[in-house]
Amino acid sequence: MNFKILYFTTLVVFLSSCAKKSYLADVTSRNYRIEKGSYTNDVAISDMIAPYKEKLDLTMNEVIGQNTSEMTKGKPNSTLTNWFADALYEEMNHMQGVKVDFAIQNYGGVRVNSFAAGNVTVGNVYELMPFDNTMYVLTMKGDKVQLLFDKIAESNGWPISKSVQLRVEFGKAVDITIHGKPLDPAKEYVAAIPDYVANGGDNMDFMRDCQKWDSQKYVRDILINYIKRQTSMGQPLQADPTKRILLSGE
Amino acid sequence: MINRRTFLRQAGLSATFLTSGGMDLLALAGQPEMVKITILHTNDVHSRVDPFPMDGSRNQGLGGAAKRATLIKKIREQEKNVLLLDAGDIFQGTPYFNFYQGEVEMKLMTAMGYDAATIGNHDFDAGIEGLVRQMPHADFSFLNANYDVKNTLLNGKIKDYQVFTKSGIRIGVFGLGIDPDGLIPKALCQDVVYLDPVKKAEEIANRLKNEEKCDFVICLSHLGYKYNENKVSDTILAAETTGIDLIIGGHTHTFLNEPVQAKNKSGKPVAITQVGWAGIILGRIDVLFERNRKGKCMTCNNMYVG
Repeated sequence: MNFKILYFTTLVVFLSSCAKKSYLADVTSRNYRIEKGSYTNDVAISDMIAPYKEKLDLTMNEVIGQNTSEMTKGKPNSTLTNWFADALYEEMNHMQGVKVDFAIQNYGGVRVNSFAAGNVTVGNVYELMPFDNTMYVLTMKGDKVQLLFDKIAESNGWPISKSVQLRVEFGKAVDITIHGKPLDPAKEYVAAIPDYVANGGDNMDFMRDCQKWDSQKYVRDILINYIKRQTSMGQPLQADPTKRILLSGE
Repeated sequence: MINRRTFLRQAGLSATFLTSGGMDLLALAGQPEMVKITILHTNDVHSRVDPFPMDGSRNQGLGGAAKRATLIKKIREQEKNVLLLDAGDIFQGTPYFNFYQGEVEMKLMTAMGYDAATIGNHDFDAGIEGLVRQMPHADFSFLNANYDVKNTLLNGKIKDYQVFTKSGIRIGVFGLGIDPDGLIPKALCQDVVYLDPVKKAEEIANRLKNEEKCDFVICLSHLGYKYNENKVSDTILAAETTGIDLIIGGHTHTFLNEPVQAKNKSGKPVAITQVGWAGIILGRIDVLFERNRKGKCMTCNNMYVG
């Protein structure tokens, strides 16, 4: 335990110079990993949780769909982030009177690293997207879209719907296409973006003055509705592997 | 379980004996009196009340408040001087928060006997009002020294620091929060004014060491362990201040297997630790003090029996 010896020795030297009331003689550390079989449940704590859990389980355990294979989160593209953004894109465009060119989700808002195969419950979607963020529809000039995608490039990729393709070169977004057409800086585009980003979160101040409309629908509920709609059509969840973000040289 | 024991050659006694029972005997025998302080810590628990569901995902079965409570209880049975701390982001991450807005988390932490927590960015997720509403369920202190909250509902509800006295040893604990700009929606943190954490830490840590006569100073930080860019973090905080002995960090969900040893502004040691997130790990740091001792430590030899 190198830390211990080093820390200890240096502290000894350091503290020996001044007359202290109490003398720090030794420091040790350890981490306890809390695993399935590791510790028993404390009964008082379990009893405390039980009434909350019972009520919660009624909602959370509802199976709303099937997932064909495990989806995992990663950059610049991944099964989970692809599926997430495509689901938002599809469901927003299913909304009456809404027509978006693309959908994005900030990477940090995707809160699980893996989404298991098999039954999909409401609870799973809460874990995936716990935040009460609502979806905004933004009208953005192409030059603002460029700034948005530059930011995404700088972050090495966020969930983007497959209507977009771009390449990251030196931390900037280049060769951007939307619906297969090059990005036009003068043209207006319509984007589905969570309120957190639309209001300038993740240091995206330039988003603040875009024309925006709050759908007042939680991102989570949009995903739940999408899954339910797929299920009603007999479709399981399946990630589209199409790369949206290419790296230099790809 | 790693079976690690510290032997102090000078005292001629193993650390297992240096618990509450052994101490009075030592004092009577004219041996140096040793006091052990056991610091237990979590960070970014994110409303993880139940263990991760058994759904084949990476963290399945890990964590859970009822198991953590058993572990804490066990340690309390063995150790007299336990301090239980959390480095923020108590809220958000499971439906418990969506449905009950943090009430469950606060009640559980109180039942486990937490002494203090700092405030993470996600603890503002239900707004300042939401946080204040849950505070009556929390019988522990909220510590933050670099958010000026005097124009908010939090005024008077959080303290810069608190001094815990355990068997005569004074442990000063203060809290630091991350810059809300671009991270916490303005509507949620309202008129919270962010102050330079390095400046504030320097001021508070030295007050704790000099005026409050603390033997050990702990910073509960939600700044994050380290960033690629030059953004203030625990590593920067450690390097640019004096007076902190231990930084218990959060925000970046960094799993450190053991505390990282850094040097402070005067070249003196600071330990930085962080135990991932979701209550998967309970961190433990034991600090052994020799009471009433002045001058040099002669030979304190450590041996580890694994």
